[in-house]
Amino acid sequence: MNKTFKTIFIASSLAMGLTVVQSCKESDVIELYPEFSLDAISNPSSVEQIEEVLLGAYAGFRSANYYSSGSGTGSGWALMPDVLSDNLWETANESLANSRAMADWVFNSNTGQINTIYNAPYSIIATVNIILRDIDGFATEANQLRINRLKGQAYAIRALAHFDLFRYFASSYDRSSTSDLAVYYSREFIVSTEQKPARHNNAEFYGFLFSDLEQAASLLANVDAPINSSSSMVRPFIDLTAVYALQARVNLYAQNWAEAETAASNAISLRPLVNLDQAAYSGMYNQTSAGEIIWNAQFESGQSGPTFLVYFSTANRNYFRPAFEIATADGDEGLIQSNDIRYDAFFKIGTGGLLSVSKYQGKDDLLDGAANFVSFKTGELYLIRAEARAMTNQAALALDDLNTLRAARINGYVNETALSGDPLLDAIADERRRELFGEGHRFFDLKRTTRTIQRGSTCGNVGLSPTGNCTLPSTAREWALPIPEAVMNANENAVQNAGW
Amino acid sequence: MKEKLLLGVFLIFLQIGFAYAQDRRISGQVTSAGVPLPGVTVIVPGSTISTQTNENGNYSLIVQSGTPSLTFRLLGFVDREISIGSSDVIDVVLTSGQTELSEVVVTGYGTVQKKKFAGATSSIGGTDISRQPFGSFDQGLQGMAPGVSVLASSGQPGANAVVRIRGNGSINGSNVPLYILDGIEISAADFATINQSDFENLEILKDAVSTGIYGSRGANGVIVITTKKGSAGQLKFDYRAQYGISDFPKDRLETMNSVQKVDYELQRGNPYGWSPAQADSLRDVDFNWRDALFQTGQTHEHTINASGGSETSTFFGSLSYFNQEGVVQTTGLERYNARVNVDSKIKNWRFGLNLNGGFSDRSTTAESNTSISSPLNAARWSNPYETDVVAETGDWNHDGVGYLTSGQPNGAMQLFLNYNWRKQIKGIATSYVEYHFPFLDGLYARTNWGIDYTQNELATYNDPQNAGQQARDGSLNRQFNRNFRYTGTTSLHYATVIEEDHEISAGLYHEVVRNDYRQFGFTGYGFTNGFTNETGITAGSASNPNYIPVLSGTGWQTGIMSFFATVNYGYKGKYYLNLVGRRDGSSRLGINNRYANFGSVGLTWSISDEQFIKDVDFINNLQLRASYGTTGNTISTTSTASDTYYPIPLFGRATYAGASGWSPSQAGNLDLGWETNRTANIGLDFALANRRISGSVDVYNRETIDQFYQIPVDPASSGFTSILGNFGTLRNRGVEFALSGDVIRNNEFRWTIGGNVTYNQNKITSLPQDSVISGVTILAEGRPVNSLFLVPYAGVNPENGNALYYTTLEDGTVDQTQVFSVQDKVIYGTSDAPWFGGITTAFAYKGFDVSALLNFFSGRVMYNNDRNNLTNPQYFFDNMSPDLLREWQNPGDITDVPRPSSSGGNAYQSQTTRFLENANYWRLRNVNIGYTFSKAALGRSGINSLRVFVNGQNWWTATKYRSFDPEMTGTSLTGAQYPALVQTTFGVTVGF
Repeated sequence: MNKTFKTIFIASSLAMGLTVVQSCKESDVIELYPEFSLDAISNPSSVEQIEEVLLGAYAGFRSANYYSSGSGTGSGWALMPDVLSDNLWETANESLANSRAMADWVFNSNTGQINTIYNAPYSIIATVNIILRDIDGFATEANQLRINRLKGQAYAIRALAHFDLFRYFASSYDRSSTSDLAVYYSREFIVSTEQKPARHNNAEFYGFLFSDLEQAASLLANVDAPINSSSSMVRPFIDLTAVYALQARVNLYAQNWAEAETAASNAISLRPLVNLDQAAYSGMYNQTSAGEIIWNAQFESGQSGPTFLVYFSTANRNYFRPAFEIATADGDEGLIQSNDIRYDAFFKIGTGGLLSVSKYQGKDDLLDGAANFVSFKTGELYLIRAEARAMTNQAALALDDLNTLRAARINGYVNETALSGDPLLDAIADERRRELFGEGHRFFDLKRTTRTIQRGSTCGNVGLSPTGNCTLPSTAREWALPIPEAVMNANENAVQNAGW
Repeated sequence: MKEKLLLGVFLIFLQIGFAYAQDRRISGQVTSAGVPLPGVTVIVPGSTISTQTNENGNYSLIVQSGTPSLTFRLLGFVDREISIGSSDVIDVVLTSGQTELSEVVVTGYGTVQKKKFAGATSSIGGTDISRQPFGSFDQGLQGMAPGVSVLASSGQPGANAVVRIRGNGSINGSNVPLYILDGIEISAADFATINQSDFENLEILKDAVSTGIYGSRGANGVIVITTKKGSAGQLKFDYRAQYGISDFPKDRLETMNSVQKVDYELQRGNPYGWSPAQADSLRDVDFNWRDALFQTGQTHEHTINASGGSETSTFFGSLSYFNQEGVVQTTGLERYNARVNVDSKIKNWRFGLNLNGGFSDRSTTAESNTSISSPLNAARWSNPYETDVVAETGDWNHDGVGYLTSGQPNGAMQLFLNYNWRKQIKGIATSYVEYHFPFLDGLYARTNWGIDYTQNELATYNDPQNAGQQARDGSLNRQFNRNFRYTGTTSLHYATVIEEDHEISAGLYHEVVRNDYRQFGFTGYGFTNGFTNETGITAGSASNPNYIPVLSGTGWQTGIMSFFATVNYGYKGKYYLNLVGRRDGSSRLGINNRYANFGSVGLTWSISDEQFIKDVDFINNLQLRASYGTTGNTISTTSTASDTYYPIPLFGRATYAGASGWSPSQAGNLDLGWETNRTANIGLDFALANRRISGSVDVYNRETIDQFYQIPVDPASSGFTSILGNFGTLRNRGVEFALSGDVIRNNEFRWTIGGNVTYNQNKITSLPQDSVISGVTILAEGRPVNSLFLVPYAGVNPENGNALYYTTLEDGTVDQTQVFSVQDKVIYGTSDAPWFGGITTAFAYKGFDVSALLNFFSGRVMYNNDRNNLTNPQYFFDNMSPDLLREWQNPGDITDVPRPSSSGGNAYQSQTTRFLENANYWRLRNVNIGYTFSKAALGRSGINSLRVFVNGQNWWTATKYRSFDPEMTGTSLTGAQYPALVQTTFGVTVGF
C-alpha cells in the first residue's frame, strides 16, 4: 500500500508539474483589459485627455436624437420641433411613418422617441460633469487660460443641454414658479443604482442654469487661444458669442426682457448680420460660408446629419414637406417666397413637383445628408431683441430690428413703418417662423406664446397626408412631453407631468 | 511542446497501414429484422481491436489468427458474442432491446457507463443528423431529444438554429449551450463550415452532475460532439451522394391581388389618381413578386470517407462537398470540408490527432427586418400591378433612382444588383497524448489541446442604381474578422476496484480556455467605373468628402482558467455516487469577483439489480437517478458591446469636427459576479416487457440566481440608462418524458414508435424592478420571460368605425373604450413553448425501411409584426393584407377592421392583441425512405453495400400562425421572413 501511495505521489507531482508548465501566467488568461477602449478607472489622466473628453461631449450633439437623425426619426432639437408644429406636414406616399406618434401627437410615455429625447442631453451632461469633476486637478499656473477655455465650454454645454430638456419636458417656462417642475439639473457625475434624482422646480432650475451661463461667460472671456478659427467655414465650438446667444434665448423663455436684450446685443456685436448675400446665407447650411453662424454642430461625411427625419436626401424621399403656408413650389405664396434668400437656402423642388426641405441635404452640392446644424445664428438674436424690446414698450427699436433683418433677407424689401402692439409681435413671430424654419424652434415658440397649434391646409387631406390631428389646444397635455416610462419605473422620485 | 507534437504526428503516421503478417480479415454485415445496422461496434473481447459497421451495416476487421470470438454491440440492441470459425465472413443478426450495461455517456472529458452515472443526458446518433441536408447541423436536432428546444431562426442555407436546453435560464446572459467537439470548445451557432457527416455521436448534457464538470460554462447545457474515428481493418471507402430540391412553404399571410389592391385604393380616395381606364389596365397585371424573387433551390452533396488501420493505429479521413441553393434567388451555401483523424497506441502511450478544415461561401439576403429595401419585404409590399422589369424594353422598372411608383424600392434590383456574402475558413484541430503509468494499473495522465480558428471575410455591396444609393454612388462594405480559441486540458486519472464491491474512479484536471478576436473593415463609395468590387471604389478626399471611405476595427480577448476534480464511487454494482468540484476564474467578470466554485453531486440506484426486482420478469431494467449542483454562466458574447468582455467603466472613442475624443461608453461594475444555476434532477430509466418498452422520465428544477441584469437608472445622474449587476432569479421547472416501444418485432418486420415530450415552465421569481416593459413584451415576476404585453383589442365600433379596446375599470369590471392607453395592457402568453417534443416511427421490411419524425411546439403565442405592417392603413400606397377589404365604411357596418383615418381619436395602434397569434405547430420534420440491396443482389460487383433513399424535410406543417412558416424565434415576427425550407432529397450510399 505504501508503495502505491508513493507512486500516486510521484504521478501527481508529474501531473501538477505539467499543469504549471501549461498554465502560463494567470495574468495572461484572467487579467485582461480592453485594447480598444480607454479605461475610466484611471482616466482622464491629463489636461489633454480632458480636452478629448470635451470633444466627446460635443460628439454627443451628433447623437441621432439630438441634432442627427435616422430614417424618419431623431433630429430631436433640429427638425422634430418643426414636425410637432405647423411648419411641416407628413406625406402619405413617401413617409415610412417612423415618427407617426410624434407627428400626430399620439405619443405616450412608452414611445421610444420620448425616451431617446430624454436620454440624449443627459448623456452629454454626464460627459461634461466628468470634465468639471476632474479638470481642476490638472490646473497649473501656466495653463490657467487653457483651463478657462475648456471649463467655460463645459459649463456652456451643460447649460444648453439642460435648457433643451427643459424646453420639451417642462409644463411652463415661468421663471419664478416654485410649483411648476422643470427637469433635474445634474451637476455631478455619479454612477450608482442608488441615485434617484428628483426634478427641480422652475425657480431652482433657472438658478442653476443662469449660474452655469455666468460661469461660462466669465471663463470664456479670458482664454489662451481662439475657440473657433476665424478663417474657417464652420464654428463647431461654443465660444463667448455662443454663450451670449444662449443667454439671450434662455432669457427670452424666462421673459427676462432686459437681460435678453442685453445678451442679444452682446452677441450681435460680436457676430453682425451679413447683408442680403445668398451665398453667405446658404453657405451656413452647406459649409461654403461661415455666414452668420455663431455655433454649429459639426457633421462630417459618413456621420449622418439632421435631415433624415424629414427629407431622406440620399434617397430623395420626403417624409415631411414644408407647409404650404410657409412656401410653395411656385414661390409666390406663403411666408417665404422666391424673392427671399431663405427660399433657395431652405428648399428645392422635389418629387412630384412639391418642395423638399433641402437645407440639410449635404455640403456643397452633395446629397449625403452630412450637413452641419446651425444651432445659433445672428438672425435669431435680432428677433429675440425685437421681441424683448416690443414687450418692453420699445416698439420703434423692435421694428428697427425687424426691418434690419428683413432687409438682409428679402430682395427689394421696403421697411414697415407703423407697427406696434400685437401686430408687431405677430410680425416678429412670423419672422421667427421664416428665419428659424427647420431649426428646432416652432413648437417651443408656440408653447411659450400662443400655446395653440392649428395645422394648415394639408391636414386631413388623406390623399396628401395621413395626419389626422390638426389642432392642439392650449389645454392639451402634449405641450409637455411625458417623462419616459423607463425613467418613471427606474426612479421613484421622478414625477410625471400632468395628464400623463 | 511543438517539437513533441511533431514527433507524435510522425510516430502516428509511421503506424498507418502497418499490419501483422499472421492477421486474418473478418468481414460481414450486421442486420436486425432484415435492416442493416450502422454504427454497431465490433470488438475483439479483451483487446482494443474494434471497428464499427458503416451505413450499410458492413464491417471489416483484422484480427490475429486464433482470436476466438467477436462481440457486436449497439445501443438499444442485445449484445452478441460470435465465435470465429473457419469462415472469414460473419453476418450477424442483433435483436433489439436495451442493454444498459454497454451504454455509455460521453461527457467530453471521458466516458462513463450510463448505469453508473446520475446525469440526465440524451444521446443522438450521428446518422440521424448527417442525413438531414442542413447547412448548419444544429437545425437537425429538432425533436430529437427531450428538454432540447430547437428552432430555426431562418431558412437561409447555413443559418444556425436557436437551441435551448431546459428553457431560457438567463434574462441578459447567454442562453446558448456550450458546444464541445472532441474535447475542445467550438464557437456556438457557427456551424456553416462544419460537416455533420463526420459526427459519430452527439451527447446532450442537461443536469448539474453532467454539466457540472464544465463549471462556469455549463449553465445552459452542453452538447458534446464526438467525431468518427477509424477502426482496425482493411482500407474501406464509403461514398454518399445526395441531390435535392427545396421550395418555399405555403404562405399563410396573403397580400392583395391587382383587382383587390386597385379597388382598395379607389375606396381610400384614389391616392395615385388612376383614371378608370388606367385602373382597368392595372387590374389585369397581377404580377407575382414572389415568382420574380424566389426559385426552386437545388442541393448537391458528396461525401467520401476512408478508414482503416492496424491494431495499434487507426485513421479516418473524409472529404465532402455541399452546395445548397436557397429559395430566394442568389442565396446559397457552398462548402468544402476535409478531415483526418489518426489514433495510435504504442506501449503505454496513446496519441491522437484530429484535423478538420473547411471553407464555406455563403450568399445571403437581408432578413428579419422592416427595411423597405429588403427583397423579402418587397415580395410582400410591392404592388401587384407593378412589375420587376418593363416588359417592352427589358429594363428594370423604376423611376430612375430605384423606386417603383409606390415609393417601394424595386426588390428585384435590390436582390440582383446588390450582393452580400461571407467566406469562412474554419480550422479545428485537436491532439492528445495519454500515458498509462506502468507501475500502477488504472493510473494515467492525459493532455488534450485544441484550437478552433474561424476567419470570416464579408462583403455587402449596394449598387448605385438602387434606391437610396445615388447620393454616394453605391457602397461596398468589407469586413474581415477572425476568432482564435485554444482549449488545453491536462488531467490525471485513476480507477480501481477494491475488494470487489468498491469501484472508485477519480480525475484531477487543469484547464485553460483563451479566446482572441480581431476585426476590421471599411466602406467605400463612388462606384462610377462599372466595377462592383474594390476597383470600383473612388477614394474620397478633402475636395470630394462624399467618397471618403469609413474605416473600423476592434477586438477583444477572454480567458478562463480552472481546476476541477471528479470522483465516482460504486458499491456492489447497485449504488453509485458522482461528485464534481470546479474552481473557475474568468476575465469577463468584475475585477473583485473573478473566481467562483461550482460543484455537484449525483446518486444512482440500480433497482433492477436488487434481488427483489430481479425476480420480476416484466421489469428488465429500473434505475433511479438524482442529482443536484451548481453551474455558472457568463454574459452573452453575441453582443459586440465591450461590457460583455470587460465589465469596467470605459470611455469609447468619439470624433468631433475631425478630431478624436472620448465619451463614457459603459458604466461597468467591478463587483460583477457569476450568474449561477442550481439544478436538481430526479430521473427514472426503465425497460419493460422483454425490453419491448423502454424509456425515461426526468423531473428538474433549474433555478438561475444572480441574473445578469441591466438595472435601469434615470440617466440624469450618469448619462447611463442602466448599470449591469447581478439581481433576480429565474426558474425553469419541467418534466421530460421519453418512451420507445416495439409494436412489431420479428424476423421480417420491425415497427417501432418512440417519442419525447417536454414540459418546461419558465418563471421569473424575483426581479430588481418588477414589470419592465420593452415594446410588446414585459418582464414581470411570476411570469415567463418573453411574455407578451398588449392592449386587448375589442373590435370596431359600428357607429363610427373607431377601434375599440378593453379597459379594466377601477372597480374591476371590464369595459370597452375607444381610447387606447398603455395602462390597459395585459400580459398574455409567452413565445417560448412550454410543451414541445417529437414523435418518431420506424418501419422495416426486408430491404425497405421508412422512418419519420413529427415534432410539435405547443402553448406558444407570438406577435405578428409582419401582419401589422400589412394592416397599417398608413401604408396603403404599398400592397396590403386583404383583411383591409373588410374595413369599416358606413355607420352600422359590423367588422373587425376599423376605418383607416386617425382623425377623431382613431390613431392606428399596433400594440394590441389584434396582432397576437397562436404560434403552435405540428410538423412532419423528417421522413426517410430507403432500400438497401442485399449482399446477394450485389454479388461479385465489388460493391460491399448499396443503399438508395429519399429524404424529406418539412413536408407537412399545421399551424394557425399567419406567415410563411411558424418556426421562428423571438417574441415577434419582425418581417422579411426567410422561412425554413420544404426539401426533398434523393441519395445513394455505396461502400467498397
